[in-house]
Amino acid sequence: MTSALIIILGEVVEAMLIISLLMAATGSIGMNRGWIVVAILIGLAGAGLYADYFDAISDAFDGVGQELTNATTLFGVCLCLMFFSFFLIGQLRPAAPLFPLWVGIIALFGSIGLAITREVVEIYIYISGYLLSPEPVQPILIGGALGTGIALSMGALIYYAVSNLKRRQSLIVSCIVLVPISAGLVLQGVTYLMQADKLPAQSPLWDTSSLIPEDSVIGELLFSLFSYEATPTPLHVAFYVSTVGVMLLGMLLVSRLAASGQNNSVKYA
Amino acid sequence: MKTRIPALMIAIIGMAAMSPTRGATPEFVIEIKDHLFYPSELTIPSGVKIKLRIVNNDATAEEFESYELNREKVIRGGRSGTVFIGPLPAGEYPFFGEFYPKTAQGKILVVDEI
Repeated sequence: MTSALIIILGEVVEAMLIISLLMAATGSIGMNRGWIVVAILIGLAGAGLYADYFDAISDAFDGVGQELTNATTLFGVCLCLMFFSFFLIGQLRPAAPLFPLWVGIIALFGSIGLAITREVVEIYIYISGYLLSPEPVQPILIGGALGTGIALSMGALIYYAVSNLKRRQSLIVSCIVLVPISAGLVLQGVTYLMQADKLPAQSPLWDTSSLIPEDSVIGELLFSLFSYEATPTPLHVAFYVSTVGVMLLGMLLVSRLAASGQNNSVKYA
Repeated sequence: MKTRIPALMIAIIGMAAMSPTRGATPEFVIEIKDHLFYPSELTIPSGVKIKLRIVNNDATAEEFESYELNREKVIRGGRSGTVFIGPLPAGEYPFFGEFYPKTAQGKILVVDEI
């Protein structure tokens, strides 16, 4: 029961963090929250499709199809979160949003949809394995329900914390928190590509496993939230830093554009 | 003379691209049965990239996971999966089955001389 609780908690927290942040942000710009529900449904449909073809996907590409799919999904979530953060920054001045609404909706569908696909497939495979075996499934379901409950409460906490901020602050806080989340997803993707032998394996640059072991409670929590990696290689660090750089620069550029747009409208008014 | 340099470069690049042939990566196999790994200790050479095939003989799914190796892979019941490991320095690298961590435990021993 405990292992089921930990596994499901870890999976659901990863998706809940993104959903609750985006839910709070969309709420603060007055975007219809119904889009989040649609994004979740897209994710569940995607998970069903992935689960259906899981064996074929795993066997593809000489047995590393699972790694390539996971890496693509992670990079996809990162890209969508990046565009969503640009969309949010473009909304800093409510009178003159920089991007049309559909940009935000597509980024929302992509990020939440792919994040849910990834997590739900793992949970489905974990639980469906038990259903096929003679082992009792009840402790797994109880552990899973408890794990989901804890993850949902954490999501609610994040949602209300960000929602209670003023419009501008909530947008900025969401975007800043999205930076380490997105870069962390890229980090995980890089590890999958190394596992699949598509990127060269390297010696780690540093090792913080004695400080915060990855299998400790804090390590697991940090992994679920920000993809904590105790032994990153130079490639990991390069991808992480590039993602952070692109996101921060992009946000800065968008905020400048939004500000200049505002000045123009004032000038021509 | 000038025309030979590109030809030479193509030849060098071609040789470099071909040199790590697929057959050169040694393959090792670990089996899962009754939520246990067989062998639970696998010895591999240091400084060499290996292909590890994990065969799951149980009906339940398992996730091969190792913090030290930085690897994780879900393998459905009755299926097998491939994970590339290394090149690694000599040492002990524990791994476990995340879905049955109480019993599914093992380690990869990387040694300089087999």
